Amino acid sequence: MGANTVEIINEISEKLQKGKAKEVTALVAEALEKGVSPESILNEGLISGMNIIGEKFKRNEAFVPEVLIAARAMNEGLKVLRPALAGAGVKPLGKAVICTVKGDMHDIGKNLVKMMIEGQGIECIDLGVDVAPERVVEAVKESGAKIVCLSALLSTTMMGQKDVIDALKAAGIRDQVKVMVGGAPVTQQFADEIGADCYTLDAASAAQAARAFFEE
Amino acid sequence: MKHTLFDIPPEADGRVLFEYLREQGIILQSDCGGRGTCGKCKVRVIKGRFGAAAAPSEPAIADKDGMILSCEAVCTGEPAVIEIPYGDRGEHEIAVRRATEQPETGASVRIGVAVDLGTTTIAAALVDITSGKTIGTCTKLNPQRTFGADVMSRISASREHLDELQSLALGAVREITEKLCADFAVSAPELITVAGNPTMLHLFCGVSPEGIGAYPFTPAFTHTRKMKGSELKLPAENIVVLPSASAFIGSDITAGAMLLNFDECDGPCLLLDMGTNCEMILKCNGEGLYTASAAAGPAMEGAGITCGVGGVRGAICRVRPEDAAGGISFDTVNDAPPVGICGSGLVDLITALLRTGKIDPTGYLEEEPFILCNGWDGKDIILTQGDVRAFQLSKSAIRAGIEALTAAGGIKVSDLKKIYIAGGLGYYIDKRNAAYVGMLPDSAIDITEAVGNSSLDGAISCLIDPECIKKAEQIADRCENVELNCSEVFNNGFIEHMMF
Repeated sequence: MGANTVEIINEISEKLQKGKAKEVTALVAEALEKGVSPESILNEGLISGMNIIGEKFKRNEAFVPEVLIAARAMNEGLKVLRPALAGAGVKPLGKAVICTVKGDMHDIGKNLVKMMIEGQGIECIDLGVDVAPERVVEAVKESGAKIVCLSALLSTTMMGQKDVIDALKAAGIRDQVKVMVGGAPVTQQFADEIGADCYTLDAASAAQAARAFFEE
Repeated sequence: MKHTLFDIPPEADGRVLFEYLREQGIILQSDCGGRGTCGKCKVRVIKGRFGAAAAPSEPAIADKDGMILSCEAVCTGEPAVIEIPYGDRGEHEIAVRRATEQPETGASVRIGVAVDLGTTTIAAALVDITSGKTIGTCTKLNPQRTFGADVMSRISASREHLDELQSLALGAVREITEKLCADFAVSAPELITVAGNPTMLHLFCGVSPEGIGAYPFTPAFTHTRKMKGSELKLPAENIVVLPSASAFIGSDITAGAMLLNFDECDGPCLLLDMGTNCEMILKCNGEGLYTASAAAGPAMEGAGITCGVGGVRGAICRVRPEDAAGGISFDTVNDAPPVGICGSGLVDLITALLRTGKIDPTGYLEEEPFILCNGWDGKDIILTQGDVRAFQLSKSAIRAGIEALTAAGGIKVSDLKKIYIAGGLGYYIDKRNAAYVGMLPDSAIDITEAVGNSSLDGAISCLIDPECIKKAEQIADRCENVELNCSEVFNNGFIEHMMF
């Protein structure tokens, strides 16, 4: 990569970390015009910027609003980049189904995880909140997703995560997917008890774990 | 610091230590309800050994002070001795206060007891019904806390321990009623009125609160319940459980709104009760009453904060920046040696650190942890980055809740003529600082008023005048609940107000 290319990619990463959506989209367009490869813009610009903010979030140095505005900037940048990625034959890493379990209306934590996962180049099928196990099973069958992410924010609804795992087993597709669980009352011990494949403490770690599943 | 040694006999083999102790009447604090995350149920092993709950053949892991989490430890069948450290936090005490103005007691005195059945604290008042005067009051921590700090963990526990939760609540009410009657030498009350959040009222009545635990949040009952004292084995002739409005808006709120005369108040007014859920009731210009419950988390009650405590003796309740150099001074409840930081102290401390730039507008704490002072037991009282983050979630949920509720009522936040804050926090909270950190809007500074325990005072009114029960019922019937999780105004406001 030439010096100019490195410079513009670094700038994309920096503006993304600050959540400057307009500047990110302008820079992505400029980089494409200058002939920078779409894959470099994605991996070394957008995803690398998201990873840095994710690491800061993990260390409690950055908080929910900063991650959300960074993710928003990422999505805006992706809109400009997507046609070029398709043209260059770059495909998403894979698909993940995400939702908040039945009886639970909490949206924000789930959205945060979704955006961070999308920030890793994974396509997310968002089923929303208060989602019945059967709908998760259906979505996995339809999309062929390899990951199921389940959020529960109440100690009264966390058993809903087990209900989804049981429904996946009953449908005979438990082995086709990795089930990731999270949310305030959820612990590693609980995840083990209900037979989930992965528990992470925060959204950034969830995104990294999801990526790792695809790279296995 | 008081310590108690306790023998664990071989019969306890295979039992989780925390649960075994609870059955023996040793109620340890547990904010997380035994999930192994809060660290409050630690005990010291003096003799013997314990296994890890996750893998009983492995030993339970002790921290650097030799303490183990009792909810993660399994008894091994080997006789053991543990030491239970009680802080000076009045865990098992009943604090009785004599009213300053005593009624003239005659032979025909009619006695009643009003109870505010809080998730954390139970408060009660002994009342001379004839004169309407309060003779004495008392408070006791809710013994159900061993099943978790918040209503959701109590609901989870009720699936297996409903009877136990009910008897803990009834036992506490019985104990304080008997103590009040004995201390003030009066006969058993003819009536006990009970206000509380719907979950507490369900548990008090022995009715499963499970419907409250998940969407669509359906309580088993909301109406007034009248029972005989003998049915609940309580030392009173009659019991009246006051009316709730919905799954989270209990008689603690309806009794408070009745007491504050929401029906006749001039212009839009709002009552806030800042607990783990911040309950709010809004009266708009017309007839409409709107309610909501914002998931503020327990930060304002001191739980989930490294050195957090409730508004107990020794709680740091006010913090002031002393000088430009960033020196800080503070007050504690009863001027006792500091035991931790309570909600109002947290608001003040974070304001002071924001003003001196030690916390930046995103909430980043430059030097972590911030050491406030040396505590009563020689350990530092600190504020961590995680504490600031928990506070940010809490204050933005409260602020966004106010915005969503007023929007649902078709008014602007600035249209509010009065904001009442219920609970002890109301007296200690600095309104300017609460606005500075963004918990309350700037327009709140001049119109906010502390109303103390409006739930207990409302229950007292209902004791004296049965018409007040009817008024509370009318309020409960008219409340329209706003589901904040589905509110766009709430979700946007929650993100927006998370920064400072």
